[in-house]
Amino acid sequence: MNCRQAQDLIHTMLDDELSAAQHRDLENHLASCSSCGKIAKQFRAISCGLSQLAAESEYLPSRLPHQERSVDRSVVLFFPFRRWVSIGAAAAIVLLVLGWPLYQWSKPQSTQVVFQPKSPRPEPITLVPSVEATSTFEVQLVGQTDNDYIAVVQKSSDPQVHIVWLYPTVKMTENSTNDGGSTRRPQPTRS
Amino acid sequence: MDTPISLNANMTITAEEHRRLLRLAYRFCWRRDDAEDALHNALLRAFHKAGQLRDPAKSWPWLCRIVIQQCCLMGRKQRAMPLKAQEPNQTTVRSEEESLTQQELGELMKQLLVDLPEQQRMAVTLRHLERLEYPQIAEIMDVAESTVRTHVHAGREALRQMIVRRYPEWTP
Repeated sequence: MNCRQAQDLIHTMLDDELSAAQHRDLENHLASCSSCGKIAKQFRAISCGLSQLAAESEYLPSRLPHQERSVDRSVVLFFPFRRWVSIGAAAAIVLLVLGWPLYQWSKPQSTQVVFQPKSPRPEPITLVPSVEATSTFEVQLVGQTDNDYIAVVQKSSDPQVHIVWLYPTVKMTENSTNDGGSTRRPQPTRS
Repeated sequence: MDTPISLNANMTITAEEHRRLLRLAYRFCWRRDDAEDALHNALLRAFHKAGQLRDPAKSWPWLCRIVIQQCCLMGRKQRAMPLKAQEPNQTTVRSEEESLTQQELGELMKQLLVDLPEQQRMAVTLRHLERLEYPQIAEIMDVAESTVRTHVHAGREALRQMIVRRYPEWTP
């Protein structure tokens, strides 16, 4: 085997297509010829390097460093759980949208009336006017509650709002009771 | 490339096929973003040229060929208009007794492969990195098998000559 044939066989060896006899002949030649041995060693190093490169490139690098830096690190550090923050924000919005009408619907429809002594009010009436209340509501008096009151309800444009005047009832004297026995008991505050 | 893959009539590829094509493009570009660009262009081109595919059974080699062509085209453009200077090789002074580690050898091969003529680079990459058989490479390159062998042998020899010439101290 001359050097030319040996170098052809080296390529065949790199392709793993060498028969046993060819392999034996080539090894004999490489042992005796130093230049061919050196060339074979170089080709083996090249094959080794290419195998290493193939193994390294089996899986692609995730991203290039400059592409990874495009993410603002300060934001990441400030919001280390960005995913959970976004999920929480979405859940809060959904709760708000669905919960607000539910809260409005379930809210008790009672009306709290606070008597303001200095508010302008009409002259006291002696007779209880007919009051037609469309809805029942409770009047909670804050402050002095010794006297009985007559509630006069006036509807406003808003069906939820009623203007209520509270009149202290006229104190019944002994005489008036004896006169006609007319009851001037005030209307209960629940109208 | 163990199992033959034929693209369906709609010219759609699976995620696994996409991954393999991207890896193939990466082995020619060696930059992920370039590989993604090249693959994107290649798939667009394949979609427009689908009518020219005569044998549907050879759609996979045909697609691989288009991807490689796009990678080579991108490489030619980048060499013509280098955006930034190539980083110098990290050549460390070594004594003759020291030999390269396997990782350094791989990095060296990556740098040298780029300087090979296109046909030889294509053949060596498909043979040694993609680990394809010669008939499969012949289908992808659309040349005879003997031509592929010639390209592979010439490519290996060119790599050896480059190492001997550029890095005589590293030559085993």
